[in-house]
Amino acid sequence: MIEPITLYSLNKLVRGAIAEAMPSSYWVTGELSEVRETTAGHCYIELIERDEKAATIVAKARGTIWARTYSLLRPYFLEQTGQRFAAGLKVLLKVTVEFHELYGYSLYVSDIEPAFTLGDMARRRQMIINRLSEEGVIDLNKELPFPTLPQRVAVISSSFAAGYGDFCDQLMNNPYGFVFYPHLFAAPMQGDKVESGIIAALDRIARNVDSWDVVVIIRGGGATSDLSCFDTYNLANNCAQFPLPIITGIGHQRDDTVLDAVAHTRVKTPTAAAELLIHTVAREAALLDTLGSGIVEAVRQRISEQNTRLQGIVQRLPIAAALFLQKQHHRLDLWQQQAEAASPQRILSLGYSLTTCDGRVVRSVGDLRSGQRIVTQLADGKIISTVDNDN
Amino acid sequence: MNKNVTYNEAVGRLEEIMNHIQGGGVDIDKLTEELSEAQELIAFCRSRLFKVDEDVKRILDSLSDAL
Repeated sequence: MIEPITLYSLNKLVRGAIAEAMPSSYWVTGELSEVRETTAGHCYIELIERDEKAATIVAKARGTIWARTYSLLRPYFLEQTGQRFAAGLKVLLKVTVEFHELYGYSLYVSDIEPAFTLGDMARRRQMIINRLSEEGVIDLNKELPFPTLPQRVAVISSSFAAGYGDFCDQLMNNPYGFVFYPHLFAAPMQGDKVESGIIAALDRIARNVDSWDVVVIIRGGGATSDLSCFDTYNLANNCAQFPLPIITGIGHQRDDTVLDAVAHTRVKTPTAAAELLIHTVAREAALLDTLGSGIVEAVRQRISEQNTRLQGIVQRLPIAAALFLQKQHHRLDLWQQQAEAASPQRILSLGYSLTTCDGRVVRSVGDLRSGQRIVTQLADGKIISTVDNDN
Repeated sequence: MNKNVTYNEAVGRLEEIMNHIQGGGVDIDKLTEELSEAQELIAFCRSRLFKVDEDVKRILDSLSDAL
């Protein structure tokens, strides 16, 4: 004899059985396939589990996080992971299992372990990085030479974001007065359009690649926004192979995104990106100053060398002149001695004499006739005589 | 000075001039010549750092407008 019970009674039995069989709470892992927040502040989720290989869903459950719990879990999760509590994430939740006569099987979430989500995100990032490494592209952008003067700056950012404004302010009001030419290539910086938006902006820049020195991808915000959009293979692959060096400053404090991992240089904030560019130009300006003063110094050195050389000549000149004069003196002395040795006065003093007649030197007796007056010159005077004989 | 010289070329030439003068390879009569070339190069380099190049500005503006 059939004794039917109402569905309500049946469900009540199930509810009782489950409550009795599963009184405690469980830490359960799964993927959020749906997250819906109500105006009252409650959160309804759908949790699934996929078969890793076949990628088919093998388990599914609805869940509820009451407003009182969710108001604490939501900011905690965001702070810890840098991620909004949203569909697509792998999560570890503390749940109790309940069955309601009308709504059926459901999980009530009382706690969450963000470290699990972080671990899963890191694992996914690592998988992308490994793939880029295997394909040999991971370091391509890093290997590009950084421009000497990164002044023509193609900026990829959201046109509304404060980050771009901060970046331009910092750059254009740099204390040195360096010139920069920043230009915006607008792209969404959050949500699922990030990948396609940035790739499209890169394509626009690549069309006139020689017109730019460097690409800067920035957004303001800090650690409170969703970063998983920067962790995609396509975006990383495009950036890694881009022909200009890419600087990222996407405003977060936690571990690198995949985009950061392939960028030429990563900094934390848009202002830090601006500082990097200013610093690079400042280093070049300092080098130029050093060169300029080095050249002036070298010229001074050369002039001073020549001056020393001249001074040396000036100092040595009188000595050389004195030496020369002394030598000439010596020669003159010698000549004088020789001349003196040959002088008539000396010969006369030796006892020789010189005889003249009518002013002419008498060289032969034949020159004289008797009666002529002759003058004989001795060393100390003259004798006047008359010739007595003829020869 | 060649109008088409790049910044890096100009700095390279400046280094050359410095080494040349330092090495004593420059005739004293040519010093003025080298020095005035250096001054010209430094002025060019500094203008790249500090002066808005209207040509560059115009080209980049036109690229942005084409977005």
